[in-house]
Amino acid sequence: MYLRLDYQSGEAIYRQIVEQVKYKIASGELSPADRLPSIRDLAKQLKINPRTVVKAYEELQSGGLVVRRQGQGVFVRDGQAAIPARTRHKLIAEIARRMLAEASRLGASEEEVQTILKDAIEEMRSDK
Amino acid sequence: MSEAAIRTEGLGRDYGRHHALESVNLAIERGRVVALLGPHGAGTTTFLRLLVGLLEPTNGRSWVLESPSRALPEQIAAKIGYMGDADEPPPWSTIKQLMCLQAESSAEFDRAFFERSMTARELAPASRYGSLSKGQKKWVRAALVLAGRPEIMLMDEPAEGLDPSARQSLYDELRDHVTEGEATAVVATHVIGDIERIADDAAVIDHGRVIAHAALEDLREQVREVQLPADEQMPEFGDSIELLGSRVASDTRLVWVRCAIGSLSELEQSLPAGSTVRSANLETFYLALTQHNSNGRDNDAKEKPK
Repeated sequence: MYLRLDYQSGEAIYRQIVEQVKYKIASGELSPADRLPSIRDLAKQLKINPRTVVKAYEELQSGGLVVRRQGQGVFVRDGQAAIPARTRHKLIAEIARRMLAEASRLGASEEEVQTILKDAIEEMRSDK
Repeated sequence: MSEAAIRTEGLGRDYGRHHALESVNLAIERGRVVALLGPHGAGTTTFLRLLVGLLEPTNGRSWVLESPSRALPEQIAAKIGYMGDADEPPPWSTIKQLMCLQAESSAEFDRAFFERSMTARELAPASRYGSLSKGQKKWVRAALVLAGRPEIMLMDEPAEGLDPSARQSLYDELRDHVTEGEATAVVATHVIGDIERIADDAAVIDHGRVIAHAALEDLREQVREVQLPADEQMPEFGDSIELLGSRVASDTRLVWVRCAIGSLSELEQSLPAGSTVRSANLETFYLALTQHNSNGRDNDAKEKPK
């Protein structure tokens, strides 16, 4: 599972993990019943404290996105069609609004934002 | 889990009239990587030397793995990997000799890891320590400490003089050992960029005092840098917003604040028009604290008569 952490984004690392796993589930990159990496493996891969991973997994679990099976690991919850399309739409629209507000405060033009977004999508594709 | 790996109570050390370290109270939990930050001469080196008992404190006490630093029993000392800023091995010793020496003193010595580390940097076992570059010396010394698989790592500027890729591998190895071996590391440095990626906590020492000790996860969520137009008064903040520092740059005033969780919107509301809020990082936080304690105050004082 590839995750990209930004240490200077002003967002806690555990939150970034939660958001990116949510995105992977919503986009279908992670399917129901897929197993997430173990706490130790993800901590080692990302070079972070295992407790940060625990916190992220707990948050995903309490949000109903994953389920922990004793002794087996943490799995994307099945039986739920990932996130309903409507909820997903709302979720992403909300993120987009936040991003636009931030961009306009930084003085970015509409075209600039669109270019950045397109580049980011390209980048994510090539990372997969 | 909550047992402190390192603990100090009123720890202080004077050199003549100079207070190198003043009354430090600190508890470091097991399993953490702590970035010990401070400008040159701030007291970080003194602090580490006191912890391993290389220096006698003038005041207070400290414990490592629950044993007093001033009289560490041999079996505890064997669990500590200390890399000082100046304690150099003899220049005529070869890398292989240094390895054998270290292997004798630590039961857990990971020879394969050490040899791998040397190969990775194209260092031959027969090379004499004195013939190495500054960065290579640091690399060898850091690898010796890491290969000892210590429970506690105390390292003073381990990455100084290393090129960026060596610095990254060193910190990666350090992080991996802490995770795998449930170890604890305190790394003194004044280069913030690299340590931010792998550290759990930051402790900032300035003028011999610990002026902050915080989890980086909390900093990321709570500390913000605010840019105010220079002609604006300092805004009034509510109780949930703590002023960390401020500085006047050419035509703006920079203010650093720590907002309690959930009070970011309160921050936005208390700012005048034309202000911008940015997320902070370890470097911003560090600057806010250290400048607040020195030139930040001067700047503010100079500004008042206007």
